[in-house]
Amino acid sequence: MILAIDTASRALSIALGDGRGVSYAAHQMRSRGQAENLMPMIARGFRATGCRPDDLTGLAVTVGPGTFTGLRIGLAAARAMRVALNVPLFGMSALEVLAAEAASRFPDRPVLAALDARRDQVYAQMFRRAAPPFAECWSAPMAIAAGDAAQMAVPGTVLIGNGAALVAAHLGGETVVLDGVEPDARHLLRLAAARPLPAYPVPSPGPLYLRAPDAKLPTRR
Amino acid sequence: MSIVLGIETSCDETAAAVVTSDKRILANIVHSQVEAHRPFAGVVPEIAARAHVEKLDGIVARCLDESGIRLGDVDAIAATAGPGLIGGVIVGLTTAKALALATGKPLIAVNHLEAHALTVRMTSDIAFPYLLLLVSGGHCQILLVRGVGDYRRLGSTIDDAVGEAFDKTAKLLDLGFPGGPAVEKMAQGGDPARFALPRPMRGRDHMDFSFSGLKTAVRKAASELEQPPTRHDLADLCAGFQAAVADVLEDRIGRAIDHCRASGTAPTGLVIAGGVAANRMLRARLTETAADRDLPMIAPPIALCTDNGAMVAWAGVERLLAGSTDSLDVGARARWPLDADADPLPFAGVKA
Amino acid sequence: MITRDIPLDSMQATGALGQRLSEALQVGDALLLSGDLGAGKTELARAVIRARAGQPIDVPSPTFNLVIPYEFRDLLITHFDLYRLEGADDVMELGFLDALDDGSVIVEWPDRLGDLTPSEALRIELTAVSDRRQARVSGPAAIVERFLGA
Repeated sequence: MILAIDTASRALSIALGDGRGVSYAAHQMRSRGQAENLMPMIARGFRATGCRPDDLTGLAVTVGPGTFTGLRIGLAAARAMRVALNVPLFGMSALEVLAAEAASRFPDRPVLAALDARRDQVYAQMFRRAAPPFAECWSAPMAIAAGDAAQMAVPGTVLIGNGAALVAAHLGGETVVLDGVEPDARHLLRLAAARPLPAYPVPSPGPLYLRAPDAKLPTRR
Repeated sequence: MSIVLGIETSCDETAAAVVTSDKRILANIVHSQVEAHRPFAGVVPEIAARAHVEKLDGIVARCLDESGIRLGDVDAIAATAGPGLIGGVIVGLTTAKALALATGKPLIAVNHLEAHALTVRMTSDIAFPYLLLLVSGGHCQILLVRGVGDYRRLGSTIDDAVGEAFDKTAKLLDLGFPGGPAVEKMAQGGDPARFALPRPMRGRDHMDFSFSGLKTAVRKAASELEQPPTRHDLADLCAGFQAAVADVLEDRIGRAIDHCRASGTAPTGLVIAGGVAANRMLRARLTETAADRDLPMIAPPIALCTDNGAMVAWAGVERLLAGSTDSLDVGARARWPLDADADPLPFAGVKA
Repeated sequence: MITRDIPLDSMQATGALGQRLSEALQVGDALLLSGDLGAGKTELARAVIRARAGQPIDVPSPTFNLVIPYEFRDLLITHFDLYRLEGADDVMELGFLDALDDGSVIVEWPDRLGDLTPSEALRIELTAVSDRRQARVSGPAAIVERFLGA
């Protein structure tokens, strides 16, 4: 049994399941209160499935990009559970999870996953294919202007994520826009379950901020 | 005997410890981020939060290793839930919640100030009630500690914390970060009387502090020095600043002792805690202040005065023995006054 | 854009201004408090927050924390001190826009906001001219009048 957690963006999303499917999923749209609601949500999942923490064989978490506080909540929770349960932890980009969802609806189309990074910027990544287990990337994940992200789209591209409309505003037709979509732990679970376990211990995944920490070296005042 | 794992991430220390109810510290690991914040001459919240999430799980694992205790054998998991820099507090509290959920152990959400207030009970035999002077980068207050969960705040800063005043003075004079040790070192041999600096609040009929006027006066005095200032100038100004702080603390603490006695409460001792409690000159002055009033001055070892996991674990022990644990939806709080009736709890529904 | 000058010659006057501002405060509002060190920015912020709380709760200076949230029954107020920051990029990462989406903000040293400065903000410049303190309140007419009356 794998527990998948996403709090990286504006949702709180968990799923329990394995390679055969999802046995429990909960998804709330919320940008606040993730830290208060995550553990009770997981506890409900355990109760609903009759599964105990000890039954987990793996953990998966979105590592960002997203809101800094949000992605740290998911990472702190998943990394702590890894210490407690001594099971593998898969860290996955939120953009890849979005792309997997697009691929589940539009198989074999190129996907541009985009999350709103505010001030007309998006966190974006372009995929040639994004079906599990492994996506084929055409770009690295990056924080860029929505207009620049739009230049990566080719005809037939599926745009997905809460930044999809921002990118689509710079494009003509020929695209499918799945706007307002947040990463969903069910797709994170599918990705994690589809991947073979590494045969060696892997260090805990770290956060993917895509932006430098706030303070730059101060100029003299 | 109970065993508690404690986690502290409310400022720029990532820390974990395992402590027993018979006052043994089985492991106590503190990872200081001071190097990361040094270039900014102050703690940068986002940098602190980033470091906590990178380090904390490894520190918890190492702490359990060193203690020889398996996670399954602890009786509770405690973490600072506030007050502090909220990004870091969330990382520590979320980590504790996940450990609690994974092991089925109770969670204890510890008030950071309470942890400072109770540490002395782990390191010394001291009876309630005692006076606590808590002086650090983020806090400056005088508390009457009447029992576990029973605190009365007698006074607190109305503007800057005293540790912040040290940091700002050090930044102003280009002495480096953290400011406390830098100012203390520079003040050695300086003439504290050369600069006439104010003693804010001294003599006032309450027990509050204010340091922003002192900071402004240091800024003014520094700007009037010939540039660049000589080492001699800096030593005199630092000594003057430190003397002003000592005079203010002495006055406020003296008043607090008198106030308690006048209102029928005889404190058993004066306890000091927080990073500023590491300052030798201030320690000496406060020891005198207490002795003048026939009161012992008691301070935990310096390593337990600054932020650490053992104090959180110990507060967890005290809370556990008092039968007070928390549910997994408890929230992190940037502000959390110890005397809870002084401040209404936020309305939980707003979070939704 | 209109401007009003309000004398602040006592703690009571600061408290009264805080009371008026707090009564009108709603989600999306930004109070931008400027003025030199010691001009009384934190005092005014404290007055607004305490008026909203209806009691003298703790309102520490946010110089150390940079950002302190206050959750009330009907409103989240987030108090920022941007003195140690460099500019808009830094402000972003303190969650400024989220705070504005979710509630109202009180900002000390608002010049650091740069292009994040909300256009509908109420600006309050605190000055002390020969020991007479005053607040110069400015902003779009509709905003100023909502806070201070027509």
